[in-house]
Amino acid sequence: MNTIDTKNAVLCAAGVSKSYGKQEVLKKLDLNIQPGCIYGLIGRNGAGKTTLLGILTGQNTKDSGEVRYGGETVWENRNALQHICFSRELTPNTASGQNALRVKDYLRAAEIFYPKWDKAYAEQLLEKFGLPKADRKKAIAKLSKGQMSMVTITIALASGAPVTILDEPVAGLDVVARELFYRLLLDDYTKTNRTFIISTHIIEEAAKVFERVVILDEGRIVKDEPTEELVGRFAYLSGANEALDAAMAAAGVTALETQLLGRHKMVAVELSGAQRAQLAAADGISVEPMNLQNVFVALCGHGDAQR
Amino acid sequence: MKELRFFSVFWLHQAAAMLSFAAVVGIGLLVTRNPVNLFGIYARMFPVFVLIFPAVLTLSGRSVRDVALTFGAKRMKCYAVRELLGTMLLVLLLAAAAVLDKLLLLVPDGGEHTFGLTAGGAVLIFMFAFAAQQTAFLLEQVKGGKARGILLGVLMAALMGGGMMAYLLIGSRFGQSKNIEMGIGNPFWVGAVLLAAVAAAVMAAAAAFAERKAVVSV
Repeated sequence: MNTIDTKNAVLCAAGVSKSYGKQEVLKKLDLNIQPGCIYGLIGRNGAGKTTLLGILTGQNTKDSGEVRYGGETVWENRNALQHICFSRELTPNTASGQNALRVKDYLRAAEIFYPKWDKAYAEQLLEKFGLPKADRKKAIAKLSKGQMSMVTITIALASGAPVTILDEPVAGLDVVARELFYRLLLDDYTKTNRTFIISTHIIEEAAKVFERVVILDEGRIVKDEPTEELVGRFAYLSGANEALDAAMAAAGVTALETQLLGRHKMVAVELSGAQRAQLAAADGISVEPMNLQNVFVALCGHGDAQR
Repeated sequence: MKELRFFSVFWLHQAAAMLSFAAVVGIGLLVTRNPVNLFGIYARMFPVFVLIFPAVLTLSGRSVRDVALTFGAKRMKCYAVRELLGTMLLVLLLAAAAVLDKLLLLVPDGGEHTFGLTAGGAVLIFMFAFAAQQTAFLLEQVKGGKARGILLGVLMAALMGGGMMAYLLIGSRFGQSKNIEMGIGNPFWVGAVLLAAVAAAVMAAAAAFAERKAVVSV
């Protein structure tokens, strides 16, 4: 259940729908982004994450619904959009062919459009990521995937935008650069307390920085709540088949995902506090914690992970 | 205006490249004083570049527009700025073509090899190039190889080709022969200019309409 405070939300989407041809990508979706929070937006490929982020930032059209920042519509509204930075994943190819724009072109655009752009900080970040000055004159298409991510992160962090959105920010980054990104993100968040929305497929690694997680599945938000609360409600139950089935039936618990291990099985379940206590007390049943990635697979895997 | 600041740098690069090219051609022509060498040929054909380059540069400008939208630029402001800068580029190139045409006259026997860019001819080339450019604005909104895209591509090529034919007919001896009088004095060209103007207006209106709902695809 969505328990968020819509009055204090900084960025709100209400009843947003979007279709590409006959494919309905977003289905009357509601989302309220609270200020001063790091959100993780997770979903499978094609779940509609980038479409949603594009609509939230006025970069994509919607079929119906409304998106507002601080009470103002975001569509074609500079007053609202100057406070939102959606640093998109850079690609070597664009609609017009190879991406011939240079790193410095992107940085210059950020300087022009973001009123709180911090040029000196952007320089520092590029230095920290080890992107040499010579490479800043290179076309984006000539950069490695990791270098493109460095540019994306730099723009996001140096934008100073109260709502900053990153789409797959660590794609192509090595583990050292990824750790650097998470540290920089937390440093920035501590200093500015601005809102970040991070869309990623590298869930478990990013989970440590998510205060709140939004899970998007087949065009609908299936979860939107504090990460710890969400993860804390899910568990793996394991035991002998018959004993586990009986204990689950007694507790009124439904399996989200099942893995058969001969005469034993392990199931992923969502539990209330009382159900957890009841199952933990049952003979021959073990209750193990899940991590965010496990929760995500249980909720959105639709059995695909067991095939 | 933020959109103007953003696009103007790219425009300056394009204008500088094209004008540098024109300058090299002009200087080469004056130094070599030969109207039929490479410099002479480029000088005579510069109006053809005027017909082609603004439209081609418009087509390749979508990714820059997308970047601007990514940073929160307004669609119609982007469109207005791109129209303004595109038209300015066209006028600059046409002016460069006129200068090169005059330079040909300074070269021995140059007058025999120039097509002769008259004021009327310049208006005609401008209008065909402008119509092709507007078609390019609309074409860049079309994704994939849909029938509409193919149709607009053919129309854009036809406008460029029409402008080239007009330039050759107006300026060449063939166009000024007694049998087929196709000099700039022929009222046919007034109709051609009007037709190109209507095409430009229709394409510009359609492009502006499409731009209202432009989506970032980078």
